[in-house]
Amino acid sequence: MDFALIFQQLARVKEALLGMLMFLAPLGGIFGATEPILTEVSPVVETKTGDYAFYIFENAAKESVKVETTRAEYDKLGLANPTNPTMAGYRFVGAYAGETKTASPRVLKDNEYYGAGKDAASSTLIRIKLPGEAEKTAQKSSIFQ
Amino acid sequence: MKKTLLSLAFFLTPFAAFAAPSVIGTPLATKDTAAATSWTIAYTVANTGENRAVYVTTGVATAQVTGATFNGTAMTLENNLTASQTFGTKFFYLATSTTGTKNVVISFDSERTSYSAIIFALQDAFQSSPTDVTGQANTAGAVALSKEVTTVASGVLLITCLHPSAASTAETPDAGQTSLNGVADDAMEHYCSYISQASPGAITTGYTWTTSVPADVFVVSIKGIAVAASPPAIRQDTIFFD
Repeated sequence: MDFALIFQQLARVKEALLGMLMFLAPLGGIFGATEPILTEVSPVVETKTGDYAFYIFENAAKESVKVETTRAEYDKLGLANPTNPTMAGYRFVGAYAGETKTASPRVLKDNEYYGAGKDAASSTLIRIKLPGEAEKTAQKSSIFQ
Repeated sequence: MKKTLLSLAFFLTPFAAFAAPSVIGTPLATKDTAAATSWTIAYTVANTGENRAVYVTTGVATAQVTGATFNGTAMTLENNLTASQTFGTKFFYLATSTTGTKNVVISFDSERTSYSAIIFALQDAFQSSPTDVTGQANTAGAVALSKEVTTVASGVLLITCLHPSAASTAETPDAGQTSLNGVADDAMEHYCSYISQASPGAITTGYTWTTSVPADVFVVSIKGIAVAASPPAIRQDTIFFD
């Protein structure tokens, strides 16, 4: 058996197939573009890491000062007949409290585009499914705006 | 000759009247922009009159306010007025005999960074379910806005609050209304005023300002308490006959 002849024939067949693909590839692009890829965006997960609280004092000139306190001390302000904090030259006017949190980083994947200005010139349509929202088709540049 | 003296006494039935609530002490307007889920405000209730009640009107999207307390007691959400143009308001009240400086605590549904409130106290306020009627109006752009409501109860105090959007100036309550207080801030402008009305009927209240902007007006009519117009009187008639 002449293996060299066989390989030569196979090479010709390969070249012929590749030549056909050169003509078929643009058609694949056209048909493929009619059904954009669906991308599901994972939700951002926030994790509480602690609390913060501040007293607010004000002087006669209406200048305010914020003094950090604890959440436990803050919560006492909401009880009946509280003893409000004092500061020389100032009067206690209020307070506020909240939670410190960390958010899971948003890792951009293929077809996820973030923020105004990026891909602004793009007209490519993609299907996107944001957490808690219905799937939609949008331009890359408008998804998160 | 007059021989007999007959003396008759008639007890006149006292008739009920209604005293409109009136503002006591100094209404407070305040705001903050610190990121918070809970906001505490020190407020002083004047030791004046009887049948007192503390009111809180919030200047933040209504869905974002989950509750309010005064001196450790939960306030009642009396009105939840959702805005069309701006951010709406919730009216909380608490009938209380407490006076002096205590704290109002407002809770948010999640971290908020722009909020305001107007707090005031009334005397002669209806102590339970005090709202008579409410109303609201909005404009997509104007320099005046008013709302007509038809009060049902006698002796009411109408509270009218204006929420203009950014860049309005010189907010002025209509004639006859007295300003409670106001928060001047583009992100959470919030003004309230009051006027009393003795007899039920239609009344229009509102505000004017100088720059055409979208705005909402909210009106809440607060009932007064029934009071005796005069103490029971005794009438004595004397008849002489022969």
